[in-house]
Amino acid sequence: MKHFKFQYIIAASLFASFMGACSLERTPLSNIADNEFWNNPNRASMALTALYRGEITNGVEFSPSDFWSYGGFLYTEHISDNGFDRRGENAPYFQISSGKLLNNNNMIRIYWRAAYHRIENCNRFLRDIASANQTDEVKRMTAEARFLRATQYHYLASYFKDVH
Amino acid sequence: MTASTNLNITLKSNVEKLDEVVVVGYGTQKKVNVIGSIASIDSKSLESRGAADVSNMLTGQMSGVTITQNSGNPGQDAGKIRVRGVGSFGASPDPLVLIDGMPGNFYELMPADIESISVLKDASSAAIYGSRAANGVVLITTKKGKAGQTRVTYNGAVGFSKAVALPQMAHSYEYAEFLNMAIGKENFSQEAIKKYRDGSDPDNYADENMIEELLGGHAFQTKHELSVNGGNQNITYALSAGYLRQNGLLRNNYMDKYTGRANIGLTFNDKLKLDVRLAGAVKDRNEPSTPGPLDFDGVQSIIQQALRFPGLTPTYLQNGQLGMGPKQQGTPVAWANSSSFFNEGEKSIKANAELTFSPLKGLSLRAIGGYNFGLTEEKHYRNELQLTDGKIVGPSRLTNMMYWNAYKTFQFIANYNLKIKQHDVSLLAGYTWEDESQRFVSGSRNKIASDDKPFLSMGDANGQTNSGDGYDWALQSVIGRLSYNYDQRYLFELNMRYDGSSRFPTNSKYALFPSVSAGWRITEEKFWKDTPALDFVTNLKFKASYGVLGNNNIGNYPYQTVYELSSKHNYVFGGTYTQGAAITTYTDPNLKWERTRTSDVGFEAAFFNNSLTFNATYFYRKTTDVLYTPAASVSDIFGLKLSKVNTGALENKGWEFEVGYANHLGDFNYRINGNFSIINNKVLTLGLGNVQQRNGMVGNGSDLFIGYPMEMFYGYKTDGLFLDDSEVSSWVDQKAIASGSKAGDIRYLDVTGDNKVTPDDRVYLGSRIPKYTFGLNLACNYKQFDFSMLLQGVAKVKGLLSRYAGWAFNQEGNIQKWQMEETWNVQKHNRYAKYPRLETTSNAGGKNTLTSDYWLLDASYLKVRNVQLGYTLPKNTAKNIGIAALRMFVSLDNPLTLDHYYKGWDPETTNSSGYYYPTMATYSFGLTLSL
Repeated sequence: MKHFKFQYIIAASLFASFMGACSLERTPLSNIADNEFWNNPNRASMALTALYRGEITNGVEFSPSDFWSYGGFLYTEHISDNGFDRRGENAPYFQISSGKLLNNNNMIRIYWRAAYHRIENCNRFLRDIASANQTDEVKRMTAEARFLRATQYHYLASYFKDVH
Repeated sequence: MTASTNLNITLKSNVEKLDEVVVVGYGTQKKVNVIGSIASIDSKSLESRGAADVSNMLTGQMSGVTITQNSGNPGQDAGKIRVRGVGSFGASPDPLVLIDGMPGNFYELMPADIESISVLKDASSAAIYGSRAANGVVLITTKKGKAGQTRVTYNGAVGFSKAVALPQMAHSYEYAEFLNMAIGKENFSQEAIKKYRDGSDPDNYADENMIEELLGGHAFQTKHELSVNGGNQNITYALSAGYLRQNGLLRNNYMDKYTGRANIGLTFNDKLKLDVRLAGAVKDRNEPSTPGPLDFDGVQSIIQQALRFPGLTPTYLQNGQLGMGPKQQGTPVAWANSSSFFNEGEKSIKANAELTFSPLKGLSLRAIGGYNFGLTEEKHYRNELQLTDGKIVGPSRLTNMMYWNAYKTFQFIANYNLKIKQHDVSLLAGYTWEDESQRFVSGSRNKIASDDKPFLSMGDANGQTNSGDGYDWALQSVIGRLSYNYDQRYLFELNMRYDGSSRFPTNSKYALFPSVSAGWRITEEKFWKDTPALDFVTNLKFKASYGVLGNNNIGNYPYQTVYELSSKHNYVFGGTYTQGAAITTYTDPNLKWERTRTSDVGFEAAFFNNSLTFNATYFYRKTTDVLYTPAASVSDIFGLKLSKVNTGALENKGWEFEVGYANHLGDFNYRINGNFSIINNKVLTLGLGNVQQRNGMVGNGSDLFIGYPMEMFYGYKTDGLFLDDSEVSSWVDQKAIASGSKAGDIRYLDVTGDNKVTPDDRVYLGSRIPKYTFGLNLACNYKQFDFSMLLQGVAKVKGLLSRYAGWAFNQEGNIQKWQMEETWNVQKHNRYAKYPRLETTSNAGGKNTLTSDYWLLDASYLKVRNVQLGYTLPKNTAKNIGIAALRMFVSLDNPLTLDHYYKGWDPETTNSSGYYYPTMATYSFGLTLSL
């Protein structure tokens, strides 16, 4: 009987140790969670770099992704006679020059969306860096973000007229 | 009797139905007492099948379980399993697959290893798996050792496979003639057409059928399994080793699989028992790929391009060099025959041990520990191709990825059975912990110096890329079950699981998934037993269940907003490549699992001493909190993409029927089993994603609408073709969607009544989820011969062939025989010709290629899944040779399909654009030898 009770005790203590040791928190391995990002001061320049890039595709792409991307330049060239889509009237690039530009055109929407995405990232950066120590470098970064935001509003106002 | 003792009982296949045991979650139950909806299948029906993946052997065998095979590529041909409809348009609707209680995949198994497969379809049976059970649970149990004489069994088979259907392409001269018709002028001169026809200048005027060359052959396949089973009262063992070699239709396309398994049961004394299960598998699959600089890769791209281009330019010139091909990059046949390849090699080992301690009568305590480890290497080498005239398609490119997967679990489960007079109570309580990790490292380089040394160090360090990442998840749960039956007449069960998952948000990490079910075996009632007129009813059981299950296929870190690090955010400042990070998606911090409430009610009946069985069940599954990205409901000014949110809802409801009859006429035994399911799938809401369309439908505007199935076709209604140019002006104005219509173009209908055809005139055209699925299994044996046939089919389902599969001359594409026969151009007086006016279209399509009911096909089919004829050596002859038994068989898998599709296409894939790998029919011969 002593032997019997001993086994029970082992089992119970193993059980208890497992219960305590296991946590259910897991965080992504290759991205940094929002609430941890600004812990490190070097991170500010990482966030600033992303404002410049704004997810433009480097190189050839099949449709516009941004005012500054390859596809973005190409599409606006179709308004002039520099660009021509040989695929006919149903083709997406052709619609801007065929007079059939409807309000549900997806490519126009991409410019709008990409510009506002960059503006959102700039605003977020400006909000988060405002609470940092205002060194010369931080002031310079703030100015850069403001400038990038202004460029996007410039494009939006040029192509879409009155915007917020 | 305790649950652990049950595991030692020998299960004979001809045993009385009353003692039959079914595997349920964390245990077993007597089949007569089961009140959950469980479809089960034993290994006998799987052993001699020719299909390479076990999942495809289950098609048509269980009601409510729909399995579709979309690809025949060796190693990638597993069937897609859907239990009682499709559970979600958000999280993945795949069922949970467990092998001996541990997560696993069908490809790790050889048929001879399997003892039985149970599919838990409703809340009563599946609630014990909680947050992973919403789409059903597949429990696979492997064979255990049986005390007694050692049995050695060998199963072997060889066979050939060929494509079930092959598209029939035009000859070059036919292509040239029809293209002239499509363009309206002589693009190909008569001399050119003559050269295509007579083959006098094969280097410049070829007639190569690339589809036939790549997919028209026969692929060899062989399977071998050796199992040893035996033991005594102290130790029992089931050991097996297996090998499968499955070739594909293309060159250098194959899968090799080695498996080994050892299930050992040790009985120390009448209180303590240990079961150890070890399994190892080495799997290697290979497929051809394309040269380095091409935009697309892999075997399905090769097949798609072979379908696309006509064989006007030859793969090999007369001097043996590679021809230029349609785009000066060689032909798809050249790519398939080159040294480019994609190889995936996986080595895995799985081990688990279960210690059972039974201190008192009726009580058993189990401690289970398991560890699965797998290491996979993917190597994708895309070579540099040398064509004629010194043209080089390069540089070559190599991508190499290695990843490991580790899963571990600890489980403590207590069972207590108590029987007082007629009251039989069984309690189960347990705690489980599971976690899994994966890590990968990947790199790529260009300009690999040697074709036969595909290793990264052989490449140019300029332009190299690398990446590394991984994931983790963890699950901690408490499970419980209470089963009660009174005299095996009144049955009652309560199940619950309390799951805590790392995927659930911080504030609601735990969730409860309960279920309740009840049953009544009316045939056990005294009044029934006392009525001789009712004697023909051997068993009649009514049952009902209700419960809540969850779906946690929501991603590993779904609720966490993160700054994403990727090359999309990096930028070059003054020559220095700098790393960037940005938030791109706004995540809902409360994102959680999808919830499915299921209820079902039904009965099981058996007549005439169990020779006739009939089961019917009605089920209703409502899934809420479906993950959906309400992109259309939020303004772009918000600036971020939206993550999915728990906002949608859908329902699946329907009926399941099963019929079985077994009898004999003297020595001739026969058995018929049929199953029939009716499944109605309907989207109930997209929540925040609901957008009112102008035609009254509410949904996302393209493929999800309230009140309709979630996999559907949305497009225009049509009424044949214009027969004359003058008819166009008297028809409704369809300029908005099809301007410049001429004779031979499609006439679209105005549904909204505003006298024009616009995108608002689109309606629901049909469902891609079959409403009716059925299967019929006929088996008979007479003396030494046995014969069986399995039929399976679906009905009330629509399909579509588009792009290279459906439209001729699309993107410089080819034309198929059915298009040449059906086009309006050769039937100018047929308003309802099955193919409109021929024209060349770009990848933007044309006015006739819009999704409409003109193109929808009836995708219902009846397939003969398996036909088998076997011969078993008479017992005396076997004894004289010194063996226990020998059965030889011929098995045909997928030999025949009856359908409404155009010749060359398989309706099992309901939406095909030509990017595919045809499914295969396999003809095999084999034997089972027991010593």
